[in-house]
Amino acid sequence: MKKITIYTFLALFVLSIVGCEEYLDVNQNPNDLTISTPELVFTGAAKLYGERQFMGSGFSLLGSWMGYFGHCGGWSGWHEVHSYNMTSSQYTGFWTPYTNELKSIKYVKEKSMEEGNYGLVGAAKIMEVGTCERIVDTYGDVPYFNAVRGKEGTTNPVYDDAQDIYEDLVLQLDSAIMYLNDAIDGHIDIDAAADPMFGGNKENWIRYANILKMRILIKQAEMTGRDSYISSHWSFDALGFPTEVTMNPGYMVGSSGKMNPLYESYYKNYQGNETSYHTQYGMSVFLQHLYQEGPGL
Amino acid sequence: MKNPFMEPEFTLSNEIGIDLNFLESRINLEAAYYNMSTTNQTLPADIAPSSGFTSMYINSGEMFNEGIELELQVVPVFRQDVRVDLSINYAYWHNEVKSLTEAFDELSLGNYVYAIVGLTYPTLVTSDYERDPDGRVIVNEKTGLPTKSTDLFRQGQTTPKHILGFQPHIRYKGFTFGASIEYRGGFVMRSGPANDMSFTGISDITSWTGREKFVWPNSVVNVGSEENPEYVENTNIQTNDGNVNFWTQTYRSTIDNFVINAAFWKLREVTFFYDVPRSALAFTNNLVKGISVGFVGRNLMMLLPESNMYGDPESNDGTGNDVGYAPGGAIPPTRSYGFNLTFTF
Repeated sequence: MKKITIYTFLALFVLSIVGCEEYLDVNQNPNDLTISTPELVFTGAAKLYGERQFMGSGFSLLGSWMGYFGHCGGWSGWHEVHSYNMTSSQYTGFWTPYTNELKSIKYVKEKSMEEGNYGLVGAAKIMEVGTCERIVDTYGDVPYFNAVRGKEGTTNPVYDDAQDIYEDLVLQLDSAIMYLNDAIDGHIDIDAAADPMFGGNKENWIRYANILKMRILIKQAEMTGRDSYISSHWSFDALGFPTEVTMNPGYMVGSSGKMNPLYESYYKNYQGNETSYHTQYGMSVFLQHLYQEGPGL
Repeated sequence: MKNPFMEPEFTLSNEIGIDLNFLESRINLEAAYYNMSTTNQTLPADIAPSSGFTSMYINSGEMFNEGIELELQVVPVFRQDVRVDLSINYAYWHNEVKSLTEAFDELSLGNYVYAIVGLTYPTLVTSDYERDPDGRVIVNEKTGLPTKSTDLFRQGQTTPKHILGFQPHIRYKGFTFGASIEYRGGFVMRSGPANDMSFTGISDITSWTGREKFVWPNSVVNVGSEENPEYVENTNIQTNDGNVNFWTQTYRSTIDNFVINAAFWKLREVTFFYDVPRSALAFTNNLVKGISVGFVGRNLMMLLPESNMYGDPESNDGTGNDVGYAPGGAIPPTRSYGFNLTFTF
């Protein structure tokens, strides 16, 4: 009896050791990381944010409607663009920020807030505003207040009123500027290497927020009954406005995967061959003058 | 999106079968009925991209499958030199989505394929035109064009309901002949080639009106108001375009145009073999023990319903759950002929 007990204990002991071995745990996938650093995620989001100004649905659809470029002869297509006869399944690229940079920005905001990195919180908020403004400008009412909360269980967010979103965007910019000023006062730096837009320059982020805010307010200038709202929010940080906003995460001509996507899509690929877009889209005289002579304000 | 609350899938299945032999196995009949009830199946479901994710793994509700399988083998002729084997098999398959999740009773699986409570899975659901209560297309009194309906139309299941097979096998002395014929029916598919060919303007249908304006066949116009519609047959209002813009845009945007009956009859294989008798090989002094010559033809014939002008329904995309889509750009089915020569030493 005693022997049996001893053997049983021995067997259980051996089992318990083997059962705890980490190499037997196959539930961890080393190639599928679940955490990152806010800085790394921020860089990716900022790159996408910058490229979104010239790439994807926004550029190819709105660009042609605005008269920035035309569709060249020798190619068939764009009937839906020319006849303004769009369906909900066309040009859905306007929605990709939700699954892309907005998701990254949310992560950066939450993590940087935990770490007390207020400069990064402010910069992320500014990019969020710029992204959401574009979606609202295109569609009107869109998911905003409950968007990008799939992980919290909101798999089908409600559509919010465009006016409410616009007013919140202005509040978010004010709050972003406060965070950036806190970071300036507290000497909290944004990692220069993580920021392809302003190289960690917090003052420039504030200047950029100023002009975004001004743009949002100006867009409402022609609307009736918005005068008092606009004048009550018409105040900007004393740092003023940016002279130029560039974004360069280290583009290299002729290097696969590192090209400026505008150049790579509309002119030449990394092997130096002209792309099909190069012959499909042509810059309009209007845009040419805009680039050569400035907006003429 | 990964879901940490997944539960394992369970299947409960019942099967009852019968196996009958008559006349010293000259007639064999096998019959079986089965049903299966599966719960907690793991499916990637499309969700609103504004949630930050485009799809999410979920445990779906309950799925019920049932089917009948029959197989009849007959040997009508069995003599010294001649033997005829006939085999017929039939399978019926039916399933139904009993429940999905608490939140929804419809689930998109991509490629217009849905799981819908109370219907078979997978069900093809596509856009269609606005139609009057009799099912006729309503056209605009000015443009002559139909309007794409905002509702989606349930087209039917994308897996065959009936499968019928017939395999005759005849041997006469050294000659053997065999064939395999199959029918599959009771299902629909969405044809990618039909869509592509309408875009490039090379499908048959794009030339039916000579690429000119035409009166939409079997269409009606609404002469009443929007609230009290009154439909009269349209005999003279032409479409405002019958050329590139019509076929590449208006026609292609309504997926109903590319849903076809996926039924088919196929002569899958015909084999013909001749075994040289051993007596004829006696001169080789037992060096060669047997010679067999044979011809094999595969995929020789395909009979399709008139509505299927586009090709083989079996060139499905079917690697995932969204069975029922024949992609454009797929390689067409090939017919093959083979010749066999076998020596046995």
